Amino acid sequence: MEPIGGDTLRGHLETMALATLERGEAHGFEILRRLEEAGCGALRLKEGSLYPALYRLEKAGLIRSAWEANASGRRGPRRRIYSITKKGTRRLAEGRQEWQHFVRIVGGILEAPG
Amino acid sequence: MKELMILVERAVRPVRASGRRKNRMRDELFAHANEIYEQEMARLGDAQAAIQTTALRFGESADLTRDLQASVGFQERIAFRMEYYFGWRAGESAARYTFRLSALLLLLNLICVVLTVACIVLINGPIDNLPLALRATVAMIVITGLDVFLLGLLYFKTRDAMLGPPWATKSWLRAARYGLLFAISVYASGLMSVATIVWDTPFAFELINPSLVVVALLLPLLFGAAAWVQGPEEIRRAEWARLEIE
Repeated sequence: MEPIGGDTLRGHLETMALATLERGEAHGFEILRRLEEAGCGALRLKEGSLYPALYRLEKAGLIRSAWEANASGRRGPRRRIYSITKKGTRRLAEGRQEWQHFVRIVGGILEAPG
Repeated sequence: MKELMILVERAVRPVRASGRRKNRMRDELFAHANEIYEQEMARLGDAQAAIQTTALRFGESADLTRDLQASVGFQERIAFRMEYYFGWRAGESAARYTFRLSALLLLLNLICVVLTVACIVLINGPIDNLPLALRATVAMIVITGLDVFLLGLLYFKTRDAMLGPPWATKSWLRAARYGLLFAISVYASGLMSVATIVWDTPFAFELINPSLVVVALLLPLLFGAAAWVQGPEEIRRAEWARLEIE
């Protein structure tokens, strides 16, 4: 199977990012690592494109963010840590229902249930 | 790592958003690019190859610019427009910026004064004490313009002396001297304004002392505190702006 990337992922990236943040707060690089891990290496995402998605989520109040504390003892530029809000958790639950509905309908049409 | 900074700056510089917002984008994307680079460096063991792979994983700058722009709201676009006129522009010296700002404020002040005078004349008829009105107008327009230029310039000099960016050396003694100059400028400007309006220098002295002395001593401290808080962000923005990205 070809890796899933670009246009196929567009539109689902925000919900997937919410799902990774449901497991706990994380910075952008960690969110991508969780996505790749959950996708068993089948996701091919241009990594920079995660950030516009995170900014949209934050603007919508679905996630919040803060700069990492310097006390983490890590070298290198500072990172921003994201966490899901209550509104984000509700939106994720809706997103899951929408996805199941979509898979049921399209799977039925294609005669290939999910 | 300059190559990684350039990679990030190519995507962020064209975005129409406030400087603060763009600095956040730069910091986050740069941190991410660094993490990719470290991962690739450990895997490949070759700096040049690691940079190329980082760029590939990061994505096309033009696509990222478009996506970043789409994530920016209307308020940010307004802020970008305001900063274009009133804020510092990449490559501009402190003197050139403060001169442009003072000229712009002088023009805006002039328009406001003309409109206000026109309204007063239309409602109340001719102005009773025209010389006093003229002197107050000159004090407001010209001296404010001079203040913006001189105090703005001193703000940047003080900030650079306090924080020591790559283009200036850190010196608390120099910062203190600029602070003193700031205080003298505030006092002189206040005295000039009042003396122009009342047209009597000894009387102006009586009017402004000792309150103006207190103001003149406090203002440099306030501006110094502002430079201490805002300065690192301004300097970071200037450092990014100095990168050659073509």
